[in-house]
Amino acid sequence: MLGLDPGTAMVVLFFVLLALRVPVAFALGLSSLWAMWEIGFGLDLVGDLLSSGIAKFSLLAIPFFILAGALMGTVGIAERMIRFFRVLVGDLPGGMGVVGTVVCLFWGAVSGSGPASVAAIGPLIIRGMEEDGYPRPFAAALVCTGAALSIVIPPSIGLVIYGVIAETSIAQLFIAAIIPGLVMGVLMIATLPFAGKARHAAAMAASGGGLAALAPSPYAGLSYPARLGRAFVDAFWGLLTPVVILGGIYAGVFTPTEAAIVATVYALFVGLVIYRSLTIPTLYAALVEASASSAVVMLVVTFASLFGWVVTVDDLVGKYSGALLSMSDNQWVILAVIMAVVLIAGMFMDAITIMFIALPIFLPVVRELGWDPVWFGVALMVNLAIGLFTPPVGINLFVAANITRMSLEKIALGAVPFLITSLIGLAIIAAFPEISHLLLQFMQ
Amino acid sequence: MRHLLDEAEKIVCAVIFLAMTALGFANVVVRYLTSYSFAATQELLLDGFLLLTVFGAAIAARRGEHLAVTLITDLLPVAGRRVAVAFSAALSILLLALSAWYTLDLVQNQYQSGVTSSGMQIPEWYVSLGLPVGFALIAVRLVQTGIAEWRAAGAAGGYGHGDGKGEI
Repeated sequence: MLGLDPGTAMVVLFFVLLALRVPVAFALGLSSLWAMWEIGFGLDLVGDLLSSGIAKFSLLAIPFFILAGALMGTVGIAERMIRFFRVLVGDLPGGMGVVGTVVCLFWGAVSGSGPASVAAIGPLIIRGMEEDGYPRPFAAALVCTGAALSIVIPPSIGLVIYGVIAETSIAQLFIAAIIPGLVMGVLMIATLPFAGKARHAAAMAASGGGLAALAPSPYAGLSYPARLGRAFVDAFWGLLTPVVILGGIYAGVFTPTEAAIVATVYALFVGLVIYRSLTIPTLYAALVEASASSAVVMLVVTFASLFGWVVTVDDLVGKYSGALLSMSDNQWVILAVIMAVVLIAGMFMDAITIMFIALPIFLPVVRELGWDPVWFGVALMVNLAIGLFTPPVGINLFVAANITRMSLEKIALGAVPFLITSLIGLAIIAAFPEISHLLLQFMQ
Repeated sequence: MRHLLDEAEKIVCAVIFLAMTALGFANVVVRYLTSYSFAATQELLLDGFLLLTVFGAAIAARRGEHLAVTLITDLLPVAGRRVAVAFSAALSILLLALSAWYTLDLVQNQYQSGVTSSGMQIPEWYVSLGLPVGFALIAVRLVQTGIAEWRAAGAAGGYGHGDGKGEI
């Protein structure tokens, strides 16, 4: 095709199919099959590659983390968690903005997927922030940004896939990503004063202390410690979730896949035994929902295994990573180029596809330059998280537009302050690998 | 009956998923209480995973949730959008037919060689058979969705965006 070598032609064909609205998974499969046919071998391996592309034990963490997140969203943990944090930090300057950010970070430790987090906690946070005087687009943008951190803060489906592609310990990636995730959260809080403080202050004054304007609190009339205590007891099982999911991994007791299974059982336990909010129909709905979501991710992974095979066989990797390495003697320049490419790709494509297409080229560079693949994975994930809320194709924006009935443009515009601080955060995390290493060293 | 046909893959997925959760949890508990681990459960979990993926993909196909870039085709006039819907559906179905064909080939090879799984010693083709069946079902669901989208493409506004449920 056009005199290109089969590997390059495959990449071109993939993007053409993508532009013509062929789903990502099928575009990957079609372009790979075409390349195999062109090279003249590999087609007899397709059945094997498809079957072994799915059957990996580490990937098994994906459906279970998705199911655990879906169940947590169903059983009523989110409401209780928001109520607790509202009592705990809601009186700080910034009010519900701070509460929303903290809940996003916490939910990131429950869910491993950005858009799923927007759907689970978005409506409640946006309503609360609005009642606290924040402009609606700003509130929606905060949720889009905060929920994007779900793929940075463990458990993260993105980090599971990175770990599999880069053959790096998923448990180490999970540990390394915590502090960078918190850094991003702090930067989000630093963005709050840019929401239009006058309106906020006016609303605070009008409502006589901001949070009183919110839906009637079950703790009204109680003293602060009493309110905090009651809210804590109510939210206890939800607050324990990150401990259950992550504690086992950090203690080295569970593998990430086992932790995902335990998290699912924990969510079932809370829903069936503690809150008794899970019924047969809601359980069935959550199972079906999680099956479909996990399958969408896994189908991309499945057909990407064909793509990866061609990339390796055709030595596409050598050609392009060689070109990348020869761009500059300065490794910071190369890092900046990689990050810029991912940032732009993130505006148009989903995180998983970007990883499957770009990592085979980036990883040899990472190895060649002696970079730590764990730190690189964390920085990459922060970068991909930004892609979840940048237009034109930022999936979190779509979901937020869906639940708020606002236009995508309006929310995207509201996200500009968060985009600026997130880019600062990305630069910090990319420039200082120490931030990602901190917790790993501490644990040794 | 009609209802059952429409719900088939949902019921299959729900049952498999629940069974995988129970089995996986039992495995974790047994492993940490007795430091005894059975290879057979790991194998069963991966078998379930395989089926969950193809049948779950059929659910997603029926709902038009497979990730696609609609940015460019959304700019087209109605006729162009319809062409894009038909074109992408046709190509997707072609790929699924090829995938079904090649995985059927795998099943035949496994059947003829009589290869069994390492953990449970059951023939490999039992589970692999789910792949061609699953790919064929995804194709059927895509045809159904394609027809609905063809109609919707005539209407103003976006179509086939899904709601991002499958993306991470």
